[in-house]
Amino acid sequence: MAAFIMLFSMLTFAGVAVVADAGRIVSSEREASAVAFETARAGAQAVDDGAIRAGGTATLDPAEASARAQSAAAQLLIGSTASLTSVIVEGNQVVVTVTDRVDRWFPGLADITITETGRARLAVGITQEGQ
Amino acid sequence: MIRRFIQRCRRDERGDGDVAALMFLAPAAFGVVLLFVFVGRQGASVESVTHASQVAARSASLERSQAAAEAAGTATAVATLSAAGTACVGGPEVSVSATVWAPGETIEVTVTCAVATGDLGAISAPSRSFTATSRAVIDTYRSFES
Repeated sequence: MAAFIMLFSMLTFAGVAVVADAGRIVSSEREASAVAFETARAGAQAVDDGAIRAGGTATLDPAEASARAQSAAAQLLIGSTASLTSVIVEGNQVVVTVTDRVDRWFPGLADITITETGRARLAVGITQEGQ
Repeated sequence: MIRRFIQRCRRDERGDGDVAALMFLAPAAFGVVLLFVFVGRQGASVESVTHASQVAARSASLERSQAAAEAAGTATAVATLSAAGTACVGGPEVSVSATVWAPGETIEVTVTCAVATGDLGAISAPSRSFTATSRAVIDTYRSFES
């Protein structure tokens, strides 16, 4: 009977740890994903003013886009355990990668690293409210 | 002979283990199920509050004035929690702020929700309060009046 109670307790503890770990991993993924998208969106607003004034089409200024994304990430990640891994400007698209590390409650299991990517591109042609 | 049989019956403990196991197992299994419900619900609540704060921050960042941003952030957080089925005791607390209310700056939304656990009284589940903070950037080319 004592052995049964021991086994029952250990299984219960393990089950609770698995459920708790799963919830924390999903929460961290969602947070990292939200930061990645917001950072990419902030970077994708770096329109190259010079190109427009010269009569050309709207394009991204890669250096400015990267700087804005990193500036936004610094604000968005305050108080978070996640960190900005990379900001890549591909044409008119900004690709941001954010990583986070979740320590496991389940004994004996290694920490898990989460990597989330957010993409945003320069939108043109919005000229009216509600578009 | 009859006396011997009665004495043997009194000494015989066969079957006692099953009864004891059942007496222990039934409430323990019930308690474990409630414990799993409690832990699962806590995880879902954290997730729901975090999501509500993220959606509220994005919603607030789309407005054109501080007052409109605060109203939109609060309304969005309440609606998101309600849609997710997360009941907060006394309603959720939502705070919308920004260091500077201007294009390119960051809006911060904090949502706090005390999740009700009254239906898990059998395991004396404590009521817990969850807080999540999310931020969003106000569009650079958005007309914004502080």
